[in-house]
Order: sequence, then C-alpha cells, then structure tokens
Amino acid sequence: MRKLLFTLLLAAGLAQAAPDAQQLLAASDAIRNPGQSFSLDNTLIEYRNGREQGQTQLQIYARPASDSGQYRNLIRFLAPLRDAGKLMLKNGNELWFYDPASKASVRISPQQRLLGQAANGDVMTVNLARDYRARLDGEEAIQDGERQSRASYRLALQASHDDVTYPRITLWVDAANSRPIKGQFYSDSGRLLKTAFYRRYQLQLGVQRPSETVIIDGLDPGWITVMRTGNLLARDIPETWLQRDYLPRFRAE
Amino acid sequence: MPRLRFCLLLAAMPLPVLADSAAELDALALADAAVSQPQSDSPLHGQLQLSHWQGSPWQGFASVRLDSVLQPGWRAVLADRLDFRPQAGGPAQVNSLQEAYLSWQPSPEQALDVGRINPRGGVALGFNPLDVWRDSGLRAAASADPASARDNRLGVVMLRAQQLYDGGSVGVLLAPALASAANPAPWSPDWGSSNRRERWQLQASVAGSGSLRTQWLLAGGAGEALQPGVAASLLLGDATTVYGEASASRRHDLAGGGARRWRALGVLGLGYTAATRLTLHAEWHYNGQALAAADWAALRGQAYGRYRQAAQQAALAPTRQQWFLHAEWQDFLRPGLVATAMLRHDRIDDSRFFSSGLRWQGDRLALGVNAERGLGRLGSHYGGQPLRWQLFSNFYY
Repeated sequence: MRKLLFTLLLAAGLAQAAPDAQQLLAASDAIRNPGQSFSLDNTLIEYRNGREQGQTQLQIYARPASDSGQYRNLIRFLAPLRDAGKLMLKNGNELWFYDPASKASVRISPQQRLLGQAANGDVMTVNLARDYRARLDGEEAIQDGERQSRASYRLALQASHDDVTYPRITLWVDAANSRPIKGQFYSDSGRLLKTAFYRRYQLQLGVQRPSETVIIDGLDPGWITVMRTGNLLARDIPETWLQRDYLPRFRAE
Repeated sequence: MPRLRFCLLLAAMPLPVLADSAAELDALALADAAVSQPQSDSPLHGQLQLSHWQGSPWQGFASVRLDSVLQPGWRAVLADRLDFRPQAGGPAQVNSLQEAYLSWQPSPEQALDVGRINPRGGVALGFNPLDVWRDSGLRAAASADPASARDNRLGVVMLRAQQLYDGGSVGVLLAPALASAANPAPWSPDWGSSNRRERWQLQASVAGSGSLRTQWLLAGGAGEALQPGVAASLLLGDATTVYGEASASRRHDLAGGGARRWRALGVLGLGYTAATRLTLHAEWHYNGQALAAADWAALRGQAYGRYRQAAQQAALAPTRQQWFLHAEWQDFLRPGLVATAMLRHDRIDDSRFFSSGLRWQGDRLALGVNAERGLGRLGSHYGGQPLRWQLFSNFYY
C-alpha cells in the first residue's frame, strides 16, 4: 500500500511539474561555488586503510572566465613543505605547473595528478552545468554525509565534451534546496572511480555551502580523502594572474 | 502547495537508501574524526641534504629561499645554497648566491625586477634551446638530472621588465657585464660566472588557437650574434602533451672553428601520463653547434679536452643528436614512494647514460637511493663513467 502510494505520488508529481534537471544542476553549482571571483583555503587529508597518509594544504584562487562561464583556477601549495610555493594553473583543459626551485612552468596533461587520490578537477572550482547534460533519473530518499535521510533528486550527468575529468556522474541533490548531497563519478567504461559526500554545510558568503567533501575511491574503498574548505573570501582576481607568464611572479598578498 | 506535495512525497517514500556500503559509513566516521593541521604560510623555505656517493665521503647542501612581500606591490626574493664537499685540493664549502632581487609591480599587468635573477625559458624537460642563460654558472657540480643543473645554477644580474595581458606577455631583459672572469672563492658572489658580457633578451608569449601556446625570443649581446627562437606546446587528449623548441644564431662551432653560419638548437618532445601516475617524456635533442660526427670521432688529446670544456661551459652536448627518455612514477608500489629513470642516448657515438632512483617522501623528510652509469667507448660522450650509487636524505623546512 505504501509502495503504491509512493508510486502514484511520484508519477503524479513528475507528470505535473518535473523539475528541470539542468536547472537543478545549475542551482547545485551555485551552492558549491560563489558566482564571483574568490579565494579559499583547502586541506586534503588522505587515508589508506584507516591510517592517515598526509595532509596537503592549498590556497585556491578562482575567477569565472568571461567567455565560457567556467572557472579559471590558480592553486598554491602550502604543505607539505617539500611542495611549498608550487603553483598549478587551470584555464579550461590547459594546465601548467610551476616549481619555484626550477623556475619552470611545465605544461601538464589533465590526467597528471599532483594531489594523491584527488584529481585536479576535484579541488578546482567547476561549474558542472557548463560541462554536463543533466537528466532527472529519479527521486529517492538518500542518506546524506551526516547520515540523515534526505529527499533527493537523482541526476544522471553526461559530459558534453571530452575536456572533463569524469565522463559520467550520478549526482544526488536535496529536493528541498538543491544542495549537492552525494556524487558518484564514472569512467567511460562505466567503472565507478570515486564516490563523494558533500557535507558540513556552513554559511559562507551568504549561502549555506558544503565545507567538507569526503571522497572514497571506487576500486579501493579504504582509500579516502577528506577535503575541507574554509576562509572563503570574495576578492578581485585579475585576469593576468591566471596565465602561465604570471606564475613566476605570483605571491599572495 | 509545493511544500505539501514534498512532505507527502517524503512520507510515502520507501525507507531511505542507506549509504551504499559499510565502507561509505566507515569513510564518514573517519572523516568525523579527521583533524586538520593549522595552515602555515611562511615566506622562508629550504632544504638540507646529506648524501653519500659510493667511494666518496658524505657531502651535502643547505638551501634557503625567501620570497617576501615587503608591502603591496613590492617583493623581495633571495635564494642561496651552501654546498659541503670534503675533498682534497678544493674548498670544503662553496656558496652560491642564486637569486637576490627586488620586484616592483605597480599594477597587475606591469612588473619591473632588478638584481640577480634566474630566468627560465622553454618548455622541454631535458634541454631548452630557448634558455639562453643556461651557461650562467654552476659553482658546485650537480647530479645528472637536467633539472638539478637548472635549479642550482647562478642567476644573472639584470633588469627585467614585463607587460602582461590576458593570454600572454612581452618582456625585456638587460644584463650588464660586471666581471671578466669567474671567481672560485668559496663565498664569492661570482659575478664573473653570471655576468661576463653584456646580454639582452626580448620575449613574448602568445596564446594560439585551441590548446596551442607559443613563446618567442630574440636574444643578443656584446660580441654575440642575434639569436631568434620559438617554443610551442600542445595538448593531445587527456593524457598527452607535445612540444618543441628551436633557436638559431650565426656562429662558429663549439670548438671555435668551422664556417660562421646559422647553427640551430632544437628539441621535439612528447609527454604522456598513465592513469597509474606514471609520467613519461621522450625527447629528441639537436645541437647544430657541435662538431660533425667524423670530427668528433677524430678529436684526441688536448683538443678533445678543450672541446669538452667548451661544451660544458656552454651547457651543450658535444655531439649533434641525442634521445632523452625520462620516467617518473608517483606512488610506485605504495603511497609516498617515487621511482625515477632517465636514459640519454647519444645517436652520434652510440654512448648511453642511465640514471635511476627510488625515494620515499614524507611531509618533511625524503630518503632515497640513486644509481647512474655511462656506457660507451672511452672518449665517447658518456663512455668511461662507471656504475655508482648515492644514498641521500632531504629535510625540508
């Protein structure tokens, strides 16, 4: 009886006013990312089989590109100390890595990961709605990162071009407020690469935003990265900061 | 009304989908207990290395790098390295003042730097024809890794001005002559190694179509021919980069003979990263200033020694063509382990140089072992270099 009621309500609800999947995705993006230029602190804590492997501390500067609406990112390494001062720049699929010891600005491919388990795309600010076509795949109650039950929309995301870290994503967003709850990220062949929980929502720049992402490796569930963000500040990021030739002279003030 | 519909929907839903597995719950529990270290952002960093080459006493170096914002728009950079090399017939310590300059940036688009600066040109890994400052002096011998020589050389005293725009920049570098000869004294700033003659460079970076990026260069100086150069890099798919560099100038060969004509330096390279964090680079190097194969093979005695020294001073290979292969594997076998391997194959005299290493990297400490060996006939580019091992430990601060 309960199932029948659910099915009827779901069918009726979907028939009456199925939410637009792309709009849900855009709303979810707006919760993760401020619309303007900003900087934030990011700490990655990596675990293998329950043991902490190390922490990476980053400062991230992001500015929406005027042409694509996608973010341009500059990432500065603070820790571990052997990496202090190194920089990574992302303009679309163009990635540069700068080492102050060698003064070299080296072009790297999107697949070249510098952050352990976390892909470059995991720490970069990305508007998913710009790169993926979303389809509403269902409505369901899901356990969120705080282990609370949440009514959610399940969105199936398909990359609209090749310049993305993950070809397919399943994203659950809160049906009440479009907050991202959980994501599953897949390879071209459909293999689960990682699962992410977005949690510990805090008021940042006027909006409740997730301050922590828990990333679980798809192949090795004992490989876990806790990504914490804080000190989110709206600030002007000049265009000139976000190009290869500026890397040798970048110094946060 | 939508709120009512939502509440009804929630009430009628089946039991919540539990986290997919116990592993997810374990991960969330682990995250609950995770403690972040406080963020530190010191302008001063450095490293201390102790190493032991097979058959040699322990040696080491200490390096510091200060990069400090004095006040908005003003920045000071200082990089220094002190090598300890107990050896007969030479000083036990050698200090290298690598960089010391002041930078003024009146706007995000404009910058002016003055002092000893180590500029770096080019995009390739093993050899950079656009790096016209490559011969600025290495006061303490570095390892076979090409990055080591670049990291540890002296900067050049110069005035550098740069105008940036979205997608590129233009710049000019002017270096005066300060001394006529190198000064091997242990604590000398050694202006003669870096600023023996007046030199200048104009450079520009341009964003091409798609992922193409180019760098353009024109360099010259007192008693030097004009040297134009260009470098380009391109992304192919998700995992591959291709790049190339070339420069040329009208000059004699490295031995100081031959006709004065256009002689080119060039690199073509390809980089590939596997999903396993293995990164491979393959490069073809060309040095048009080197002697032809027959002349190289015929060199003997003092002429050979003088030629090798001239090539070393110019930081160029003594022959015309080489293959360069480099591999680096992060998290090799277990997290924190890094495996490296390098092969240089001289295509002219068929000599080879192998180097490989394994290191464990912690947050502040790295421990590792390196091995290297040259193969080839005596007198060839890499011949006569026996197998040797190095143990090392790096401490970062």
